[in-house]
Amino acid sequence: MALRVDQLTIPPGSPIGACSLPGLGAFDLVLITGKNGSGKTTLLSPLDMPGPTTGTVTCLNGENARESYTGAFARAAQRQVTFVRSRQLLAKFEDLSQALGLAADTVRLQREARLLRQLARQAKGAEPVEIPGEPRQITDRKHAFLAADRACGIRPRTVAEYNRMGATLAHRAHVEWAYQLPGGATMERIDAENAIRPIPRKLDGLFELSNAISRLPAHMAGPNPPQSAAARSEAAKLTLVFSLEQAIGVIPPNARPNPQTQDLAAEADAVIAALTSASRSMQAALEAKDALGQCRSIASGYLQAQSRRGVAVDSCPVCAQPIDPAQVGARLEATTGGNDPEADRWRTAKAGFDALIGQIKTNRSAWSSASSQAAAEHAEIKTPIGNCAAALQALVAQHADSVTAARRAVHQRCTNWLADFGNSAPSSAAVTQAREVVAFARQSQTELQREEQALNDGLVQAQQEFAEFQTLGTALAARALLDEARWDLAIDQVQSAARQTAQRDRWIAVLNRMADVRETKARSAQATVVNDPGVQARFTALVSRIPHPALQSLRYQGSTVVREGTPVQDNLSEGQTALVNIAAAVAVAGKVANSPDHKPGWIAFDEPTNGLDEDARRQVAEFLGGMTVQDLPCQVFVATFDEDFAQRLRNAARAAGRRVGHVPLPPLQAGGNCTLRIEDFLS
Amino acid sequence: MITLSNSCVALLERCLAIRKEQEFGFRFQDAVAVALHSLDEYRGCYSNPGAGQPDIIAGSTGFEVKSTGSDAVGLDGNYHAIRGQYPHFRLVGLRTDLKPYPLWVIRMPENPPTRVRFARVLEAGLVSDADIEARLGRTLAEILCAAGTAWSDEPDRALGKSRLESVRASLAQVR
Repeated sequence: MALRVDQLTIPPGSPIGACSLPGLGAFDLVLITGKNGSGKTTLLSPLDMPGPTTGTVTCLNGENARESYTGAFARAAQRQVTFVRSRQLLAKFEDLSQALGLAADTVRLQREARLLRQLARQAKGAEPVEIPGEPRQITDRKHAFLAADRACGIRPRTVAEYNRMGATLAHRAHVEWAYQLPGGATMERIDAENAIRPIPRKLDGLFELSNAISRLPAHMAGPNPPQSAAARSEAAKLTLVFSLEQAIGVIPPNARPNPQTQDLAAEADAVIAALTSASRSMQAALEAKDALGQCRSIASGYLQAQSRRGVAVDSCPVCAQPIDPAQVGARLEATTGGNDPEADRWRTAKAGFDALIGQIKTNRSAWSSASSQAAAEHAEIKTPIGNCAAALQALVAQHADSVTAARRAVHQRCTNWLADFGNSAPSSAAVTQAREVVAFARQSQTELQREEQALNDGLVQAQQEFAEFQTLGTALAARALLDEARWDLAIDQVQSAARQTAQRDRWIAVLNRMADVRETKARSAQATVVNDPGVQARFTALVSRIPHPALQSLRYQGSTVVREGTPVQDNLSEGQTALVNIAAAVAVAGKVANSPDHKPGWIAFDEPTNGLDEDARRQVAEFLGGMTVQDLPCQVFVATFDEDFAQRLRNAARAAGRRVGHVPLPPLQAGGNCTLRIEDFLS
Repeated sequence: MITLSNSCVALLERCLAIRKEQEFGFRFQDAVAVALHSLDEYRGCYSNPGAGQPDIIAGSTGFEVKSTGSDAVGLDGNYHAIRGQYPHFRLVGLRTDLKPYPLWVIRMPENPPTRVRFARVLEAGLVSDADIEARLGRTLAEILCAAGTAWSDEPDRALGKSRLESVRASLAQVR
């Protein structure tokens, strides 16, 4: 072994206080045990980075001369001697590249690259230089301006255009338009605009007139009106009168009713009574004629029977008057045989009387019904006309002249109708006249509505133009408001901020480039180590001792291990990873750049069993401890809290022929200085 | 250097956002041409789309119109020859990375530089034409604001320019 550690000296300022551990040069494996926090890592720290705060290392060189491993000697040793000095080596076994980095002496490069990357990230993630941006006030006003402007279409957004439109609208509304600057006070602009807002014009009084006219029966003004009830009543009356006259013509003069009556219903009743009486008389005569015929038939039968008996009848058996049987028989024969025209006439007359009675009754009923309907119709006309006349009676001075004239005319028509027909019986003339009144009122209303509509000609267009005018005013006001806003920043500020941002970006780029250079160098150096045949041979030999068949065919490629060309480091268990890492560390520990046969100095393992189970800790102890001095030709330092692991490692190392020294650390006492001693197990 | 009005900047910014950088450059050139046309001494100016010539020509005065999102603008054409042909050669520059947008009208020397940094105009020995700057900025804002979004939102460049010319005519009538 080219270089051995003989003594560690920890300065007073360290966590475990001042202490010295001599006599280490006699051991190949130094086992440091103690509870967590007892100072194991502090004791190993001079091996990693000797210095005033960490401590010093006294070494034995090849000639067993003592040298302090500090300053120029340490730097020279780093160049000349291969050794592994990092307490981080394989601690927690997280990354195969740790061992490689140490072996290839690229730890510094890797660390610098990491730091540079970290700096670049911090610079990138740092609070960016705030370039003074657009003030919120301007942003808000800008959005308002653009929104208002978009509503203007292609109309020029000028004050002149705004005032031209205002003047046009004012002329239409017959008001004055004062020149406006839309950038002034908002309310003044809105007031000025509202003063010329086109509003619909009304014909005064038309509303009231329309209300009054609407009270008239609407159905009477329609075209092709149905026959009125009054007309139907008059027709029914004529029919009844005709049937009465017809009846009076057939009633015998002595039975005719008094023609002086004015009441048609009474007259009808009288005619019906006379017809009934005549019909009854005719019925009685017919009955008498039937009885006489029966008597004649009996007398004739009597004479024929007596004649057949041969009895001569010479006197009437009823009145005993002498009779001539032949003559009487001939007369009876003549009257009992054949038709009786007189009886037929009487029957015909009676049927005529009965028919007339039915006809008169029907006509009287129809007339009565039609009269009732006509009376109702008359009332329905009279009431609204009366209401309309009453509503239109008073004239209002404020009403338009045309409305007043129409109002007066309609009122006159209604009044005339009421005078002519208001108190008379229902008649078709009254209905006809009422229809004319309603039609006239409707016509007057329509004409006035047209007149009012004419007043509002062009209103829609004016309203549309007013909307555009308002939009333009809003846009111009929004523009003025936007232009009033001030940017509270100087261009120099913006440029300065922009320069700072650019400068920061340039620094980030420089840091990344520096990191790239270091990483490239580290990769190159590590590749040299990895590709070294001695490293590969040592790794293969070491993993072949691991009692896992799956691990024995692994090849080491720096940050990965591969099996048949496929990276498998992620498929290894925690214990397998620890074993492979130890093999990798030991394999590369003897390698120095461009010097495959170089002897390593020392290698330190700080808590190499963290996170491992009982079996894995046993395997690590047997694997690490089982390495002979030829396998691992350097001093080995192992710090652990695990007494069982330390015991197994100690036994395995002793079996492999290593001289084992044990340094038990007492519990740390703050502020106190510890006294350390090394136990030689051989002794 | 002058800064344009806020409303003018809002419209230019909108045009830049909608039309993107190259198309915005053309639109801005149109706007400058229309605005220059409103100035008495450049009433007869016209746009010249051909290469090797100024963007806008008014007699012996030529205007090269550039808009840029940075501090510098490259003059990679044969500006030496152009300067020889047009003794009154001006560079109209607009920066869109600062707000309010600053506008420069810079007199081009006999040997025009190949790159102009607006922040270093004086150091480079360049001189701004303050009078034209002020009048052009004012007129540009007036015309752009009179055309409004009808210009920036118009998809067709020619139609957009006609809107500018239309409002220029109406503004002239008002004057």
